[in-house]
Amino acid sequence: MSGLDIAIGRKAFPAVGATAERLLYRDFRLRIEPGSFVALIGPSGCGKTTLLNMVAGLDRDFEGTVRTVTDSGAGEAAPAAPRFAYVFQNPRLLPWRTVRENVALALDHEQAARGLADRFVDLVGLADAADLHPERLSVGMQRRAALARAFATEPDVLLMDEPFVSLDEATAQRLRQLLLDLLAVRPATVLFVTHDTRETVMLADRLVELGGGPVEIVRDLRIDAASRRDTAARAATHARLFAEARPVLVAERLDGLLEGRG
Amino acid sequence: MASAFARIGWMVLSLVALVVVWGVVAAALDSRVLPGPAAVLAAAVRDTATGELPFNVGVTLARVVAAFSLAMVIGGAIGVALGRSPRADRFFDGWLIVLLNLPALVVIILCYVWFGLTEAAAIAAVAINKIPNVAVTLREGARALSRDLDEMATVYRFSWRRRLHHVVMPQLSPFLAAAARSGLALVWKIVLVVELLGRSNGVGFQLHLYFQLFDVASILAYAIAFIIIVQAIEILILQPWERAANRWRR
Repeated sequence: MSGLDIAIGRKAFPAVGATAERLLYRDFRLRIEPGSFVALIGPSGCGKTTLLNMVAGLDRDFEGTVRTVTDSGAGEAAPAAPRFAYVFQNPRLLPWRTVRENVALALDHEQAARGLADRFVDLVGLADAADLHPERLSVGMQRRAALARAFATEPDVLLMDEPFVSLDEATAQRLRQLLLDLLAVRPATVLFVTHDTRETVMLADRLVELGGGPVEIVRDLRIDAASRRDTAARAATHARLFAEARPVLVAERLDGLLEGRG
Repeated sequence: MASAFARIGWMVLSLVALVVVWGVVAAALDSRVLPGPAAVLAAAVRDTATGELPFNVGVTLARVVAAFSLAMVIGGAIGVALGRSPRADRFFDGWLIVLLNLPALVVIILCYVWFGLTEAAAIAAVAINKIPNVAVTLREGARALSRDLDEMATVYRFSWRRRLHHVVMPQLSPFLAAAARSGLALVWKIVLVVELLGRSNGVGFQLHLYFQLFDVASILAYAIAFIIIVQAIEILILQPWERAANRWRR
């Protein structure tokens, strides 16, 4: 498994017409340990998706480097070509290919020969829908297909950009649990962009809050396993971490929840 | 299914009515320049029996296929290139406008003058007439290519072959179908003009011949034979292809 060492010297959106150039990153550094699950939160439009795109190699128009580091120690060169998978905000499935084909197309010959497409289509619970086209599926099922595709490629690093946004809460919760189950089967280093603080507490073992412009790290803290063990622990952790950010409403609701349980 | 039968029924009724109207008018006028359906059918049977009609229709069809294929491939490549590169698009846009507005007849005459009265010049003239239309249609298609899917293919390291077959072509296929449809209609009309001006066989040449003989029955016989063949291509090849390309839509 690989971790990441992200060093962005400078990243700006160039001036377009009357809009002036916008500086997003300047001397930004973020190290991510192999096997960790890092949640990136921060205000909309501050550059979280841009950061994922730079890491994924989709956006190469920046000064700086993104290196992968192995278990054995920081700085050492990672295996030749670490694999990245990216779960986008929209599932980005090919509408003219079936679920099974969508997963299979992301695999190389050797992975396809091992039957990984069918295995992960099964694991996300889409065995019965494998031969359907994505437009026949519900939004939740489309996201499952996108998860199957990402995990079937056996990624070293999994990038996720608000993958559970705009789903109803029950569906989103099932998908979060599915993500944890998949990570148990096939571990990976995860960089996860979200706005949902509760999601953060449930999934991540490290929280990195971004802010400002150019972007800097406002908060960077660990969320240990004990503090996200069960619903009550998570609620308490959530209250501790985000009480100040949303002073009245959220805190009151959580308090009520805790009293109800206590 | 019922509506499909109804549609075919109406189509048959409509065509029968056309033939009846034609027959009545021809009988009323009783003129050499408007023969009735029976005379046209007789001309068609006569030229089919001598083998002349099938041969000339075949020759014309071969020219249509050659010019159409050339125009689709070259026009498609140009269109996709322009759709992907704004700089090339800005530069060549003027050229496209000139070509689009150049009368077909001028292209045909120039090709014959520059390259001689040859088969290659004839087919090139037809293809050049069609290329700008295909290019403009496919340019729209290339502009509409999804950036999201392109990024997905990059992240998952699709080979160029896989990307072309599974990501790009399915997005372009409606535009290809539109270009093919309008292309076929345009190409076969221009092929007749090319044959009339500089070939010694094909439907266009035959029409020219019968025009000089004032044999209107034979002219109509060739015209009807060609209409039937072009419609057959539309119904048997283009429409099934379009349906297959759109199978995934809800």
